[in-house]
Amino acid sequence: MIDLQNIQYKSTKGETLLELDHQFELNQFHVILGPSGAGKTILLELLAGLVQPTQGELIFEGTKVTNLFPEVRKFGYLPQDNVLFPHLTVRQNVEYSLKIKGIHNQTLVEELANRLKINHLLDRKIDFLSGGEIQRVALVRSIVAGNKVLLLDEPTAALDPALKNELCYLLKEIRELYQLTIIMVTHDIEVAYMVGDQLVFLIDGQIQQTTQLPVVKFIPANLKVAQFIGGYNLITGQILFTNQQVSFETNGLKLLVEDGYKTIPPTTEITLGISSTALNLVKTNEDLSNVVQGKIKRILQKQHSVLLFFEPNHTNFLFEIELNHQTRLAPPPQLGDEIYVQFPEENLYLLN
Amino acid sequence: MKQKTSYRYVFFVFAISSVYLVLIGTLFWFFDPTKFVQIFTSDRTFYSLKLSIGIATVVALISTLLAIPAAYALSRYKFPGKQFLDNLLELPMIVSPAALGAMILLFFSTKYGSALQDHTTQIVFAIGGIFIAQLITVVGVSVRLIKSVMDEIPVRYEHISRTLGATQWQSFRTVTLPLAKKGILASYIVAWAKAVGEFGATIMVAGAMPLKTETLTTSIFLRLSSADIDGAVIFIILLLSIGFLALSLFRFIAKKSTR
Repeated sequence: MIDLQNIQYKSTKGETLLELDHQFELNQFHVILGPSGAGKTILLELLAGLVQPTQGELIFEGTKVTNLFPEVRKFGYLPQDNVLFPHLTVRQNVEYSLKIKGIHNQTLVEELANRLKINHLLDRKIDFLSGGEIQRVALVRSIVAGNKVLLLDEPTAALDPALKNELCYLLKEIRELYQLTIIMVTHDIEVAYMVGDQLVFLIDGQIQQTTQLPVVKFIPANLKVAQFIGGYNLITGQILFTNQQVSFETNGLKLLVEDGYKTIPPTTEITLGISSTALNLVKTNEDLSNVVQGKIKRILQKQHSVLLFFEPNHTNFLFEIELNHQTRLAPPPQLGDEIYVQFPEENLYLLN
Repeated sequence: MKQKTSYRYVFFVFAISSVYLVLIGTLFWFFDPTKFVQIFTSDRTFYSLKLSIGIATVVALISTLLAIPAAYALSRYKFPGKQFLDNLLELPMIVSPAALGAMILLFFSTKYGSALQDHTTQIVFAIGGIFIAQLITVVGVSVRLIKSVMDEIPVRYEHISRTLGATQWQSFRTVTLPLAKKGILASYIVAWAKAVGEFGATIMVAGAMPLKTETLTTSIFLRLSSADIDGAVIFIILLLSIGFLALSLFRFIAKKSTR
């Protein structure tokens, strides 16, 4: 286990950039998700031993490694750019750690080069490698160095969709094959779902939520996570209790929410979140709860879906409704149409 | 996209360059080919040439060797007094070489300077003085040039090498130094050319004694002082040739390092 105990990292100006207490299980694929400036790269540098925490301890397999040099710690680090040494060939890059230690292990190099399909690149200069090839060479180099923990900083950021999928598959494969622990930073939620065993949401230097994958239904733990993921309709209002029911009310819109929210004190200012894909278009408001009537104010066509901007009657806010091309109603809704939208209780989240 | 040439701006390039061209042309006005071989092959000329090139080569080498760790520290680390020390290293560039030479001379006239000379070698009005004057003038430039080379090398490479098992020294030796190699070589050439052309500090500390402390630059001064125009012109042409050769070599290395 990699145990981060009360870790705090402050900038030279005294600003707290990272504050966390977290355990990473070994032999798992952990994905750190968060927006730019969330402290993701600092977390990787801290794990690699390239920066020192202002306070707290880092324990690796029961041993304190907080003050150990990176070369002793042996956490492989693949930054976002400047990954390979430009003055060395691919082979020299791959064999770098062996040369440092004066070891000769051609069998391991050849085996890994074959498995990660870089054997035909070994004697090339790195100048003409593609983004995907650079990442594969760097992975081989790190595994050759004997690193059992790999820290990857946005490895898919510069790749086109096809290469991105290929690298994700490869990362999953080598993780299992070589029993590695991978901690990868990304802001791409799709990539995170493709590779991860655990998602860690790091926002504003703090872990906001951890989710073990696969997950049947993802529920954002708080407003920051919902805002980061995107695709959520977020509106501010108040909690009310009427006739043993809990409801959310704001500017002429009243929606019943699940009983679990009873613990929130009434009249508390709170944000309601609902995913744009969780709103249902219905034909009428009969026999259904939480059905709101309103108009379609805007329509945006996306590659695989259509985005409707719905304004409930007597309100002045817009809800985004994303309809998949395959599941959307026929005939498709038109601009200005009066429609009924159901806000299912189980998909309404009250977020702090 | 290639911009359309505006000759209003190009005019200034020609105007400024023409001043230098006129000055170079003037040299050939006074140049007497018949005396060239005689002066060029004299013992005195050969001594000056040997002294200038020899000392400049050693000075540039020592200056570069001292500058590499200093430049690395300035480029990579934060430490108390860094800004002050960084400014202090600009001293040879902001102070006139003559003033710098006078400062060296004053130091060696103190009891500490005298003791240093007594326990090592004669500096003032001796070959040692040329060496010290040139080294002090050049080392600041070397640090500045090599620091800019180090700044260009992303620290990421060192980070990666550390995570691959390299110690700090191994990382510096196997990653930073090879990547800085061409830049360091280019800075060596600049340091060498600056040392060959150094005059102010050298004459203050070492004087200008023929066949003793007479370098190529002091030779020009001595020959002009004694109205030996032919001799002075030949030495100026010699210095110009060395300068252009060094510049060409520097440009060649700089071009190769950007590829």
